[in-house]
Amino acid sequence: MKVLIVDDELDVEQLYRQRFRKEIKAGELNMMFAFSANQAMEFIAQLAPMDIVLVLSDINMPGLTGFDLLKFIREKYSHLKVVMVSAYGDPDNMNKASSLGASGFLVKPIDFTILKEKIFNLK
Amino acid sequence: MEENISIDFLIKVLRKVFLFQNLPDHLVKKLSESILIKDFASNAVIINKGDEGNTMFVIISGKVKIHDGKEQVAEISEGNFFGEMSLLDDEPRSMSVTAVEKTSVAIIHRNDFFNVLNDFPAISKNIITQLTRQLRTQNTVLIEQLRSREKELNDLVDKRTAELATRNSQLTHALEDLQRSQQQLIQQEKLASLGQLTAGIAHEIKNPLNFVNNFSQLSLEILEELKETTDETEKNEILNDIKSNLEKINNHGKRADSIVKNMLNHSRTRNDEKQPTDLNKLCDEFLNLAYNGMFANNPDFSCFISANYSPDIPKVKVFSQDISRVLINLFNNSMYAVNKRKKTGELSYKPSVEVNTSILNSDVVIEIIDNGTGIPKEMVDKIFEPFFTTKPAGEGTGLGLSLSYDIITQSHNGKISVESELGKFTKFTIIIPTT
Ligand SMILES: [Mg+2]
Repeated sequence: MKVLIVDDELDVEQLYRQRFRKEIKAGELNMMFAFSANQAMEFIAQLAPMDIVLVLSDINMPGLTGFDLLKFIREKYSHLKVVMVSAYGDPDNMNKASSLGASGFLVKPIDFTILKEKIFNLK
Repeated sequence: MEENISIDFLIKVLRKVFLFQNLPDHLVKKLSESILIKDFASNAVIINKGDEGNTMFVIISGKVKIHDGKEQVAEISEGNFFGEMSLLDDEPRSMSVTAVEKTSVAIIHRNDFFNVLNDFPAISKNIITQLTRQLRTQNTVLIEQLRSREKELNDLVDKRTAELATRNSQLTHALEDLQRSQQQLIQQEKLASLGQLTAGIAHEIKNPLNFVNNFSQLSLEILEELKETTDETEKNEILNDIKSNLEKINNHGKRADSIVKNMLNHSRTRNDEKQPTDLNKLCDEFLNLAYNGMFANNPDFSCFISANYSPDIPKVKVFSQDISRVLINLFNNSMYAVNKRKKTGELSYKPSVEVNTSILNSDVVIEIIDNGTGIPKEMVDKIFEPFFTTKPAGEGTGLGLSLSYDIITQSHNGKISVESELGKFTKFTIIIPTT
């Protein structure tokens, strides 16, 4: 299964790849990374969208935010699940995420045990 | 001659006049026959200064004052005479004469007077004596007036000096008060801009701390995997990962450290010396802080940031805390402006803030351009004035830009200017000399 991770911090790639090393090696998981909302939109549009099952997106990014990406996905790719990830776990942000149609909200630093559950529950 | 005054009476009056004391009887009689009598009410003007004069006057009854405008030279009564000067020198009247009370005068015409003078030249001595007396009296009066004038002036000078001293000490107090409140305001503005930053700073620190936590936790876990595995390739792979993770921990630790340092710098009172500073780095750090701060306070906020830093900029000696206050101020303003315009719901609006640095004639030029709400033309000129703000009450101290202006122009010998078009853009240009 394919997961697209969107965050403006480049180091998240190393973090996720190591965290899910076993799963990636075993071919259970395919991870893609985009470092801005724009880049994520391009990926989603270019790749066979059916491949991706989950988008994990940061909210606070220069240019378009994670909310802009969430709106874009909800409008055009309604089958895609989006989980928002942010250092701001305040009610405003969470309410906005759910009202825009996010499937979940994770507060940084990410609890990877919960994240793993979320991903594999999708199967 | 009026009928009710007899010649005898006039002769008596004339006899009393010093001028005519020695005059033989027949001449006094002759003179009294040609005299005109005239009555003046109190305050009536008898002679106007500057008038032509061919008569002299003898006071029969009453009192007159001799004066020049408001300056009184003498007050004379019955038996005295006046107006003789013009008679002698043919010049216009040198003083005015006004009745102080109801006054009756005998008027002697020039021709009659000179006839008497011809018949009795000894009268000249009387005239000279009288004139000398008058001159002496007038002199004394004038000197007295001068003295009292001088005293008045001295008193006035003393009074004014005392007033000035009081005023001066009031002003000194006011100035001290002003300086004190200015210091307080500067401190408030510092705290306010720090307040705006706090959310951004918290986020900026939280991100690297998250990485430190994640990477160290991760390293602990894969160390366990290392113990378990026997595969050499996998062992190497894990060791490389751990090494790389430790590097990440180190980097993000330093990142958090530098943010805390900056924050302390910002709130601390200024160093006494300017330090060589990388202005590009300073711009970038505070651009990030402003962006994150804005986002933390407005979850809806988003904006495109474009930063073009010239690699040719040398380190410049500046008070970096002060410059960073200017930057954070301008960044906050520009982001506030794009956010405000975005809220108007304008279709296809793409909020963006652009930061450019360049070098021009050995000056560093920093441009901060936003496509926000812009500033009305009539306000552009006032924008650097203290307490001027376009923000609603409570959202700005109105001091940010005026302090920024002082920091750039006074502490750094530089320039700060603004260009704007309402509803289109605002561009701030800062010029800091490198030498
Ligand atoms: Mg982010």
